[in-house]
Parts: sequence; C-alpha cells; structure tokens
Amino acid sequence: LLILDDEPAILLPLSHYFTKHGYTVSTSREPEEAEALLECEHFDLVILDLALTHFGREGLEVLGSIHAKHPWLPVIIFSANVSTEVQEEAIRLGADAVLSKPQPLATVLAVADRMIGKS
Amino acid sequence: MKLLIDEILRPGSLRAEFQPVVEIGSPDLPCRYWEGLVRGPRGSNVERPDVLFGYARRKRAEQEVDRASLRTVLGAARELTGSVGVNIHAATLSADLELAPFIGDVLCATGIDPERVVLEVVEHGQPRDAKTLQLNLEGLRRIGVRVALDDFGTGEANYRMLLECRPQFLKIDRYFIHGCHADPARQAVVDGLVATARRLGAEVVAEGVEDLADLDHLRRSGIRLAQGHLLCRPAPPDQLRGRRCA
Repeated sequence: LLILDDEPAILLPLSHYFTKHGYTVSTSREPEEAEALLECEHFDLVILDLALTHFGREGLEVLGSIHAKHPWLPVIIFSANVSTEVQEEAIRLGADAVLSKPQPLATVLAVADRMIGKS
Repeated sequence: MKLLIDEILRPGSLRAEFQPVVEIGSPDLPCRYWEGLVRGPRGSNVERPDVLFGYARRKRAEQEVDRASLRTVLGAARELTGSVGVNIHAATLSADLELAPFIGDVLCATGIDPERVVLEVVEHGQPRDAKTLQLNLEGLRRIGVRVALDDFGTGEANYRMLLECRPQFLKIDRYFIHGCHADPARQAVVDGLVATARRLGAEVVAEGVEDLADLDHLRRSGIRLAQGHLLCRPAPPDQLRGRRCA
C-alpha cells in the first residue's frame, strides 16, 4: 500500500493502522516521491489525498498521472472538502473510491480490503 | 514545509557504496575498478538509487543530484586504492556546460588523479543535446578521465549513445546476462556486443552476474570483466579497504 498525503498528522496514524492490519505500507508526502516509488516498486493500492497544494500540484492532476501510468492500480481518494464535482472528476480520472476526511480509519480499511479482494 | 530534495542535497546526506568490476580471467579475481553507487538518505524512500533519481528527475533536479552524487562518491573513494567509476546521467552531461570544470574541481579537492576515474554514463529516457555531451566528454578525456557506457542495451543506452560517447568500457545490462548460459538468443546478443566493442576498442563488462554457469559462459565468450553479486556485493569503502585492485 502506498499512502500519499502531505500532512504527517494523517500519514502516521493511517500508516500505523494499516500496518497493524497486515498491510506493508510505504508513505510519501510528495507526489514526485510517490511517482518514483510507483515506477520502481510494486503496489496493490494507493490512498491519495487531493489537497497537495504545498507542492504546487493539484491532487487531481497527480491522480491522472498515476492512473495514466498504472491503469490497473486501484486508487482510493481520502481527502477533506471533496465536492460532488471533484468527486465525479476523481472517478472520471480513475479513482476507484472517494472518501471524505474525517472518516473512521476502520471505514478506510474496509474499503481498502474490498479493493484488493481481502474481504 | 521541508522538501525531500532539500534533505537529499544537504551535505553528508548521500552515502556511497562500491562494487568492484572484476577481472574474471585471473584466478584471484582482482578488481579493475570500483563502481561508486550512491544511496539516498538512510531510512527514506529514496535510499534506493532508482527511486532517488526517479524523484530527482521529476523534481527537475537531476543535475544537482548528479553533482552531489559525484562529490559523495569521489569523496568516499579517497579511502580506496585503484580506479573508481562514477555515474553520471547523459541528460546532465548534455545540459550542464560547467560539468567538466566542476568534476575537475572535485578531483582537485579530493586529491584523486583524473586517470583513476571512469565516468559511467547512464540514461533512462531524457532528451539530450549530443554536442554539449561530447564537449563535456572531450574536456574530461583531456584530463585523463575514461568513459564507460552503463546498462547498455536497455532504455536510452543504445547504439546512438555508443557512437556519441565512444566509451572505453561497454557495460552490458544485466538483462542480457541473466541466464545467458542457457539461452542461445542472449548468447547471440552478447557475442554481437563483444565483437562490436572489440572493433571500437572498448572493453566489455558483463553486469549483474549472479550465476556461476553464466560466469563460465561469459569467460568462454571472451569477456574479461564482470560485476555482480556472485563476485562481490556493493559495500561501504571501509569494508573494502585492502582488497586488491589491479
């Protein structure tokens, strides 16, 4: 599992929670770091925050870029303030699920398990 | 917010390990030269060089990271005797007009004789300006630096690069080496490259040798230099001190 989120306060608990539930987790705060990892290592799932403004790139653009290079890789959007328009655009760009923050971690885990056929 | 690139470029953040290019024709397998392999900050995602340079390329910071890597490898090479290989991207060679003087400065600062240096040209898909690349290579050759073409046969390390770089060492990518003892198609490719290198006056290095049967086959094919885990794994310089270098 690769989690891309520029907020350590989200990244760390999410990473610990998924690790505790049997996932091998890599985390990244920068889109370019995540893209380089995806190029060199195998992942079964990506959890992506759309609010990556610290890095001058839009989350939707990053999603499009990931999906273009790895079209079979499931992506869950986990982001705050996701409007209906953004949600629709994310699905159009290849996201498999869109979850709004805040959200119980168990809900994120349940969606991830379903994506990779774990449940 | 602190970016990963700032951490990578912080002095002392990168580390170097070395792996020997070994003379496989000699029974005691002496090292011809040490290839310096840069590692990103310990414990980070970019510790692996492929992720490090993939990230640097996306941040459009390949030149800076290449320069920092050169400084790191040549600095660490002071602990070793014999020649040392340093990797450089063809994209940097073809874009950084000040690269040859920069390398000259690093060599002065580290006290390493340019004739000990093998510049290993790598490329993974960047466009390049052949003229600048050749100017840089000419400048470096003039002071005694030798040139190797790394990972030949995959990506952008192709016949055009071979003509542009005119290397003294042609390093055949591991893809063609793995299983060559049992694969006539791989043998045909390797034999062809050995013949081409001989015509061009370059020495062939077989990369990624991990199997004894492959090594035996490479010897029978006339290859004299090889590199890989079977021969020696990459290690920090303090663990390699004292190892014989031809």
